[in-house]
Amino acid sequence: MADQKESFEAKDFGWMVAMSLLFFVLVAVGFWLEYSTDWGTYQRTFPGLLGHYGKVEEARNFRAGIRQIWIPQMGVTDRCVTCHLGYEWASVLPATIAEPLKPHPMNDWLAKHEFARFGCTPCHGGDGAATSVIGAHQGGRGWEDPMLSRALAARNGLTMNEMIQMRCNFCHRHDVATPGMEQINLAKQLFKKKKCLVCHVVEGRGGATGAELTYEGDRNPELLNFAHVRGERTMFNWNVQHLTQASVVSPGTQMPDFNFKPDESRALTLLLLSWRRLPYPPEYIPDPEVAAAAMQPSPTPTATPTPAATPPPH
Amino acid sequence: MDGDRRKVLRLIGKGSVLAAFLAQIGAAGRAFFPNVLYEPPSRFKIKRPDDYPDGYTLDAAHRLYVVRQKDAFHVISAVCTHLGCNVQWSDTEFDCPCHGSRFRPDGTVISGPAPRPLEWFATSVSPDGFLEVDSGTEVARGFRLIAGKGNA
Repeated sequence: MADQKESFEAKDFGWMVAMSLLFFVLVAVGFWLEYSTDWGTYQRTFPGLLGHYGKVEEARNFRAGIRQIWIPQMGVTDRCVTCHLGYEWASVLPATIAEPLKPHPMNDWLAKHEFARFGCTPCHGGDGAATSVIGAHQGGRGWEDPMLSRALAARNGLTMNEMIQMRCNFCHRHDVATPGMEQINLAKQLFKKKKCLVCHVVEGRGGATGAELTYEGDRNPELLNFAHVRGERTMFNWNVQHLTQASVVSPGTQMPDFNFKPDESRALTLLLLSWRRLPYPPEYIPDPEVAAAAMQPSPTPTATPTPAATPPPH
Repeated sequence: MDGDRRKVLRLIGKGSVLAAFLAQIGAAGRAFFPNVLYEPPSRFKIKRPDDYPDGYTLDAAHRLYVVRQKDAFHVISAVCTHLGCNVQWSDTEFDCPCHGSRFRPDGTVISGPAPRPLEWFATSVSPDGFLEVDSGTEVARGFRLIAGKGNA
């Protein structure tokens, strides 16, 4: 027995020690991967930033950890604010601070759409529950609701402000026109002017010649023919080109070539893509009359004309 | 000499295994304390200070009263300490409709089955100008937050 034990030690002692150390190193690497997060770096920087701009007490009370805006009635779990820590500090932090600590610009829309009530992703898109930069901005595989970014807008010939109006229209769908939503307002005018309802059903109204458009924004791209689409094969491009020259994108279609100007077809595409099945409860859906009243020109001579009088410049 | 080296190496080997196991047990224990929960935060924003009139305003969604006296604010829980009904403000006192507990304007009990006074919640102004209530932190009766016009 004793001999056996000694020979085992002599032969395998080195291996035993090496394997033990390897086990320890693997566990240590596991811990390091778990605790070196994207957001940890930003959270370590933020208190110093607050202190630098005179909020010493708030900086001292800053507690690290994942933060979220949770709105169950909207299905929103937005952890964006774990990294975008400056979002509500526009009164203290300058807008020149780099992302992600930059404060959210404060404007008239935001006063009516409070962070606590609306969260981030209903307007911006992206995967709110994700806690990594790529996961939140682009979403994982199969995530069809990427964050709207300047780059994405530029790829489609739009500005960020124009593109985000598509998401405004999720709730403002039944407004005839809404202040600040020039693209969608233009599209709603064109939709009426070109009498789309003669051939298309939207919300139970219209002719049945063409496809129903009520939930056009939910249409599955895999069921569309992209063979004749120029450029990127996106829903956006398909709609833009189909609206302008339907006979090219869908040979044999009954839909006439409307030959819209590029900005008109982009606006109409934003409108079509905004028509989606959404879980937003009634208290989030605005009264169209409020928007209609806000669109009325005020009696003062310096009033800004409604988009009906002057189409938005491009 | 060789024996000494073996002892040290054995110690390192055993020590690293022990440390690795302890770390894993620690990690398993840590799993009982999640980073975030799907639940309303104990710290939440209500309206802007100037949205509240003077006097007692019920916030039914958060079950609390916002009390404003000119520029001084405090927040009292509207949950009766007896069985948890919403107490009602009647211009002079809080009355609980369920079992008749009565509370003074500062939340202390006048009469009825309620065992404890109504809680006072820590209140501050958020950086974007809303009243922010921390229902997880009680403050002493007499707490006042100065906010509203000219101060927010």
